[in-house]
Amino acid sequence: MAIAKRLYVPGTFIGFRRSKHHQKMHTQLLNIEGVLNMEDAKCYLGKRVAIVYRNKETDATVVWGKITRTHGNSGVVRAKFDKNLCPRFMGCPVRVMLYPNRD
Amino acid sequence: MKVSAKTVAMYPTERKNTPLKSNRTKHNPTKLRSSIKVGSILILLSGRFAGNRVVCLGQLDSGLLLVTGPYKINGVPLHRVMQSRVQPTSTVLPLEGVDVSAVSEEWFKKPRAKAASTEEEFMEDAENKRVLAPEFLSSQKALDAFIMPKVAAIPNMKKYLKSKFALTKGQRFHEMRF
Amino acid sequence: MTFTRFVEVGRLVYIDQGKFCGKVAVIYDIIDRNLVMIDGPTTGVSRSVCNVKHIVLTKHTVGIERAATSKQISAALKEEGAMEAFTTSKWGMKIAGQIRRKQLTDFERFQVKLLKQRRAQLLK
Repeated sequence: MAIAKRLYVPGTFIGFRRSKHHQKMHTQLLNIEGVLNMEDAKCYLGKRVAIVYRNKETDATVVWGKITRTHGNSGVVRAKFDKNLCPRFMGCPVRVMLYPNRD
Repeated sequence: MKVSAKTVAMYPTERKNTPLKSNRTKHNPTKLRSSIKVGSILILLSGRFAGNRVVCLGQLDSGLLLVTGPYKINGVPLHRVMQSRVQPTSTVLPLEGVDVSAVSEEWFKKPRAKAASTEEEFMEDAENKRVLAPEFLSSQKALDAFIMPKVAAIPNMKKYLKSKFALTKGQRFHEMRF
Repeated sequence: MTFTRFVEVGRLVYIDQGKFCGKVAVIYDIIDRNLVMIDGPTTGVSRSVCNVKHIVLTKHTVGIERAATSKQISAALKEEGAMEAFTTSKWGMKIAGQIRRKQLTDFERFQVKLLKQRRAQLLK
């Protein structure tokens, strides 16, 4: 079968943790597809996240991170990346991997 | 002055060096998760065989799980995996009495690679490929032979182990049961 | 076309929001145009106030008086077999099917996939 195997949950990098006038670049907020409340978001705590991007010079670059905790009640989560994400990537897809498993 | 019988004639001026009790050397073995049993079908989540469904054969002394495809069914050889890199499922094969005592962890340890200093050495290295231990091959065969009839006894189980796990559109990982 | 399902005492309702989401209960009193009092002694819904927006009316009713007690409601449900009528209806079966689908294990999901493939082949 030539179906592309997907072993991650798609998400979106929606911005940084912030107050009205300031933003904390060290913590990024992610929306995970299909997660609409805090209870469901808890399933993804600790999971590894990757943002994959391409530019003209390099083939593909991956920045890895980890989901640290929930953010608010609508299923958004906070994540820490090895390198703080560039604000240009706001709205870009991220991959929430299924490991480490906690079952 | 009267000297009592209890006083010691000699008293060491220096204390003996006795090591303090410490927890550092204490070996805390990894606990086997309650969701994983011998015979459990597991989904590998990362690595070369990510997505493959494999059979758990037990836990090794290092705390890692010993799994096999079986190799005959899906090409996943006998190897070790971390519990956190695996999604356990509720399906369990009846593998009572499986004998993994012959399995040695040494088989799976990669020899520490020496950095090739010259081009010649590098070329030589490529030729000196790792050779699988004959004991490894024989236990792989023996374990596969033990598992195969158990798999055959359950309808569709062989097909199941042969297929790969993947998330499809609309599936919600947090709502799924395994 | 006229309306046949009303917010009325004795109406079986399906709750689709809130704490008792996914359960079936009976209206035993109406507070105002927005709120009703519901009770589901046989389905685990406690006697409580519920917003009309959180419920969906079914076609089934039971004959109870206004402000009937839990005992009276469960007796009426048993006598008239209204709950069974709902669970065996097309809607009730669909809900049961959805719940079962969510409970499938990985191996069962795989078997469903095989059966679906088989059905598609036969239809061809």
